[in-house]
Amino acid sequence: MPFIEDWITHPMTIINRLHEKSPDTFENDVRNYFQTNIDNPTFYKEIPSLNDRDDEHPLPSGCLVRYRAMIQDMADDEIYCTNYKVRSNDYQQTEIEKSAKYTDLFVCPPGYSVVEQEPPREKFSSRQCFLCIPVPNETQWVKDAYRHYFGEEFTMHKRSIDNHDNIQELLSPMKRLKTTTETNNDNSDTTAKAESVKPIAKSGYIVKVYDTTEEILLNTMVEFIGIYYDHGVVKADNIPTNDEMDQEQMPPIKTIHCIQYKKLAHINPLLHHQPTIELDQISISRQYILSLFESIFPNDKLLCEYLLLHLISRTYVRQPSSAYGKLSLNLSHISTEQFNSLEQLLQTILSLHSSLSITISKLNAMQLMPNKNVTKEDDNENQLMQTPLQLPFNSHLLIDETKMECGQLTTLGLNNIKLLQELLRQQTLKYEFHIYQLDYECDIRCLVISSTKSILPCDVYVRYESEQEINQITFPHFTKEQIDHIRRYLTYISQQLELDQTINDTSSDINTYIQEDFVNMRKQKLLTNLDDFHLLLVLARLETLSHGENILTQTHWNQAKSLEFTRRQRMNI
Amino acid sequence: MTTPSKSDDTPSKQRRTPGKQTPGSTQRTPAKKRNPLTALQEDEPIASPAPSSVLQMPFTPGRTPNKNRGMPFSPMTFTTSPAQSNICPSGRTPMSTPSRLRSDLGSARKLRLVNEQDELEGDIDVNTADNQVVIWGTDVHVNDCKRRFIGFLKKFHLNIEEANLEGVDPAKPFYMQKLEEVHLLERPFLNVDCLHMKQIDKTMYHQLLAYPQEVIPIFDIAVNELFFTIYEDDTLPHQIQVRPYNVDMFRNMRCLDPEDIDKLVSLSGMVIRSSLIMPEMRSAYFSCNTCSFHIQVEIDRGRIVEPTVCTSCNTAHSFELIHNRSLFADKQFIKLQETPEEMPAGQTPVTVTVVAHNDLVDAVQPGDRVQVTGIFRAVPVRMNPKTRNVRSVYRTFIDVIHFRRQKSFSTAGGSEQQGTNDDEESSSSKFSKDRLAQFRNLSERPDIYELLSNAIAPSIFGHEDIKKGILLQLFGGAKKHFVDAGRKSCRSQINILLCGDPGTAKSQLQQYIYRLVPRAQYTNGKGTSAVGLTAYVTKDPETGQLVLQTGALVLADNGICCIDEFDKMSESARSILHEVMEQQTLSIAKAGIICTLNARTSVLAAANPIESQWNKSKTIIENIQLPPTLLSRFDLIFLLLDPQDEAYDRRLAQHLASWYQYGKEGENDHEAMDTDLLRDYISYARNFVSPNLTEASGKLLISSYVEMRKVGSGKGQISAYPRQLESLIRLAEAHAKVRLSEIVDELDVEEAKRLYREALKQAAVDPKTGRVDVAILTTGISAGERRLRADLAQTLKRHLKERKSAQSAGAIKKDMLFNEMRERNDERITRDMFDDAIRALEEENFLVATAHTIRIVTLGESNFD
Repeated sequence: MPFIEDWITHPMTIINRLHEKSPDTFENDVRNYFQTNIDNPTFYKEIPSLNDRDDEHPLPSGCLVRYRAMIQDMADDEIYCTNYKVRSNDYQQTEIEKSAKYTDLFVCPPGYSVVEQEPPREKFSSRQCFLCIPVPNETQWVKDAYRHYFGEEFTMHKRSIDNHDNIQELLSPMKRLKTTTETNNDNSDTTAKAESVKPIAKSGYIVKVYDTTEEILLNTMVEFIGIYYDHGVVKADNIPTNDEMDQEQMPPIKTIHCIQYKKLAHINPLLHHQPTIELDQISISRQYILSLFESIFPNDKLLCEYLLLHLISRTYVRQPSSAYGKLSLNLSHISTEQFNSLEQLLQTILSLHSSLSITISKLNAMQLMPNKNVTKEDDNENQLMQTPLQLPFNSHLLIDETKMECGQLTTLGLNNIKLLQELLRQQTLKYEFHIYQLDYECDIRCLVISSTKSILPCDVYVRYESEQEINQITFPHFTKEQIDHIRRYLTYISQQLELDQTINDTSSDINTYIQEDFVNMRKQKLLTNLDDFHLLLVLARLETLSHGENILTQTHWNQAKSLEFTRRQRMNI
Repeated sequence: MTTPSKSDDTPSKQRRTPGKQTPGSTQRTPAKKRNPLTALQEDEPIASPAPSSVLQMPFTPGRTPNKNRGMPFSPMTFTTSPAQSNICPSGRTPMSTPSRLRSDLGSARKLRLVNEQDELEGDIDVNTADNQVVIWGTDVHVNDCKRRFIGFLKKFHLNIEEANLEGVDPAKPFYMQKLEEVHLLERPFLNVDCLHMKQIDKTMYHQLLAYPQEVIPIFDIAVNELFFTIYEDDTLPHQIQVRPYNVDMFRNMRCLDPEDIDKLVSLSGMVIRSSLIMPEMRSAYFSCNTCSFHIQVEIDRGRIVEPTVCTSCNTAHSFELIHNRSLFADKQFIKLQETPEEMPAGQTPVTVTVVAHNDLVDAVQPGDRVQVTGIFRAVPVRMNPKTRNVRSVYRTFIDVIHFRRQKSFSTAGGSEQQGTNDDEESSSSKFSKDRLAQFRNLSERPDIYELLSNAIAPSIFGHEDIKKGILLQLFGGAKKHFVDAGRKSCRSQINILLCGDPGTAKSQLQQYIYRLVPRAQYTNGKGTSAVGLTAYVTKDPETGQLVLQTGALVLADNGICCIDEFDKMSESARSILHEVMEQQTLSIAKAGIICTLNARTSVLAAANPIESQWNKSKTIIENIQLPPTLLSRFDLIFLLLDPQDEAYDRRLAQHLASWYQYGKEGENDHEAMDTDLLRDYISYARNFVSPNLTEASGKLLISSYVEMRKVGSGKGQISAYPRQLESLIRLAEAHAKVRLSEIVDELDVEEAKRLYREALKQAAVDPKTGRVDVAILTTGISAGERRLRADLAQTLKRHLKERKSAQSAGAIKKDMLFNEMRERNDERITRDMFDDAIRALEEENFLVATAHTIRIVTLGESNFD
């Protein structure tokens, strides 16, 4: 590569050069040029990542960056003119045509000035604008792992994250748990921290994407590679200057002009290296997880099993008013101790985890519905307000209901409850847009922890039952490798959506078997409700997947059945 | 540089050197003729006079700015053709009608610039052979275009169907009638439906779309000439302005792209915000401090250039702006947001800025659903007016030419509201021709009823009759008025109660309907209080004012209100429903607010039987346990019973399991009908079909009602009230509406009757006990069982006969007989079966049974024995 330094620090020079060389094939040239560079892992690593940056060490404007983000809001498309001319100020008046792609401003070489001229119609083009924020609730280990695997080597303040450090960091919460006295303080700290992070600071960026795509939807996770500019965004949709409605200053949001993007189905960095895992690894990991759960909930295999199935559940078919495949779980009668260790464990093994504690006062005070507020005429008037419920697909949400007390809900509180109910029932979330509300599909696994049965509708309710009092929670010791296996397992399994088609084949054995079973259960009045049957099918499917298989067999069906009936026995349903 | 248009027979008027033209002095006729054409130079980049002012000149000579109004190389100032003179004979100029600025056409900064004189030479295409003048850069022949437009206005007729909808005479040209309306109402705006234009003249239509700012002024001129030819002495507030709308490239906001800049576009959206009205200076009036010489400067590209040197006294910087002699125009910024229906899944709504001028200011309010026709513009964004930082980004907006407010679904009351505002047109035009044809085709299909009912909640298995019932509810009955009879109006809404076992998809059906119908509300009986359903008064925390907040029933006016867990609703909340469900209004008297609100809503309620599960040994009434006053207000009461049948279960299991397959959206044996079509079809039928009863169907209705009354008198059945007659009529009407038929046939009545019976499972009701024989619901088994029972009855009869001959006639103890029968028979006989047999014999009048004894009826027969 002739200009290796250039392409990261001054990508525009290269783009301009390519444009001068052949304006016709320019777009392809740019794409190809950057593609070849990005595909090279060593070069890729050298692109600075915006996720690792803090405000104190800003990147120079106009350099190439990587940005792992979630689409938080979509702005209107923007019309820009693709080319402009500069004219030299000397007597020759030579005109040069330049491309205005990947930039907001017309740049003039010294000794030239921009020819102010109305461009002809065909010189206009449009680009999509997205408002992106770093993926919310990314767990710490994910960030560290990204830095570890893809971190730039020439970062200004090198964060030496070698293997050893990493393990320490990962296991530390668990280690800390071993000494009970400390834990309580620590826990309150961590939860407080987690909550304070939530109203995400205005660290968003506007990303302008040139190839029109329908692929990027709200709340999807995308990795962008593009040119970063630190001057404010030009909002094209502003009502023009010199009228009263336009008093706004340029918001301090910065821009990335996207050159290449990649939609991320998950953000587990461990799977980027090894996209698949072997079957024997799966069953080992499954054991690992169950043993971790059992250390929190001793003597309750049932609960642990449900917890596992819950963690790998995912919506895969939608119907109006119902979503199939979700498995929201409600646990009750667990001690604070257990709750805290559970939360820490989830943070250690899941890549996206957030928690929301609901109390009467909080419900009445906090707006959970993401909204655009029309009345507010401040600078982010047109921006969707993010709330703790606007989460990327495939996230995990822990709802803590244990602190709920008696009291009266205001309209806001009631709406919040309704919102949560709808989320749990249908996996849709309402967003408010000025004059109407819209339902957006989401896929958030919800785990509700409550003192008794939750007020929120969950698919499965399990009461923890154990004779012995739990004072101390000791996790079995796992190496970093083993924990990585668990993380990989959880992400991998939940990505596996395809079940073999046999279930729908009327002639297949399993289908007849299930049908027979259903008829029998109806006869014995074991199944009164069709929802129960739905639940059984979901459980059977998840059970199959959790073993890394993709064909539903009688064993798994029976397993699911026995699981469900044991639970019902316990719950006295 | 001049553009002479030569003509063989008529002397063409050579374009004058602009310098010589003093508008005030020009003879009126030529000025008028030329002037409109000069208006076309809105595209003209060069120099000061804004075209709009030029347009203004001939009719307001006094206000004509004193200045040079043409420029030496304006391509626009060409002369007219003979055709024009034919249309407007000389001297026929409306004295008193001033012209008016069309800021909607020219407010934006002109985008196309022509720099060089030599370019102009090429741009003005003078086709000597045709003697036509072409607007530069386009293929618009000015005179030809005028001729075509006038031709269109004179020629276009609506077909009879549409004319009836619009309430106009189909025999006369539609737009001539509209002009008459202008004449009568003195509202100088002519709304032109572009689809009409497309039918008559495709070329003109495409020209309009591509070059609106050039073509619309030509239309304006044409229509004014035509109008003042017909109504010579008319005086209008200002000249008629043409407002085209309904461009058939009806666009989603999302699809606006650079291609559309400066073109005419139509798009629909919802108004989310409108700015204050802003006066925009159209022309500034400057007066010289030294010599009082005054000069008027027009706005040019959004700027007014203050003249530096007075032309009269040569003093520099002596001019002063006189505000109250300057001209201003109203301007308003409006933000439109995409409507929810148009949005692709998973994306956020986009917004578009719309600029309204003059009369259109404040024509729409936030919350309105509008269709906007206008010119799409783009102007560059300057980061800061002071810096010379030029951006590549363009700000886009639409200059509105026409607003049309769209009414929402289910405009049942539409007929009363129609015609108040001509911007607000009946929603018939909401449907395109193709859609209407599609409706017609559909309605002629023999299986339309089944087709539509299958389209409702396809994911829910079975329940065909309930789906049919709900379908009829969606269509509703015909609106009837009995003002003469002293009654306000008769309810056309159909109310349905779904009552049945848990897990029979009642809630799912409701959810589906809730999502299907645009104006639907879903409430849960348990969590609903009376005020939540009706309306309540609250105090606004800021102003302290009392505010009326409407509840679910009022919100669902002209829609459907789904109420789940109807049985678990509090008594007080339920009593509210009495008024709503029959009178369709809601009266409130609270905290100083007394009012009656419309609540023309159909209620779709769902309830569980009183014991949660259907108790087979109880009658229908006992199971439902709702007050008869409320029950009678439901047109259809569906009993959804769990059949407890193996075959049924098996099919159900299969159906359910099929949903659990990834990526496959379930199988549909039926030809699936997409939801949009269904929704449109229903809204069309609701709005435009209002069937009437025929004589024969009326008779059939009467006989059916009498029959119903008879059945109802049986024990434990839901009895028929006069209301049920109305119900039957409504159902029959709704069924006729499904076929888009204007007549209620006997067939419709039959279906209404069948549905009514089917809903109550009357076929399965034992008339003597009033119980629902659930076994009958599951076909197959019951038939065998019935035979068994019949056999038993016969055996019993034989036995009794034998007995009678053996012993003396008289009372026989039931228990004794039961034991005897058990001994005699090989098969096991239950008490139930025995009782049934006795009842069967009783029906044959063979015996009379009391609580414990049986007496054999001996008529004349015994005498022979």
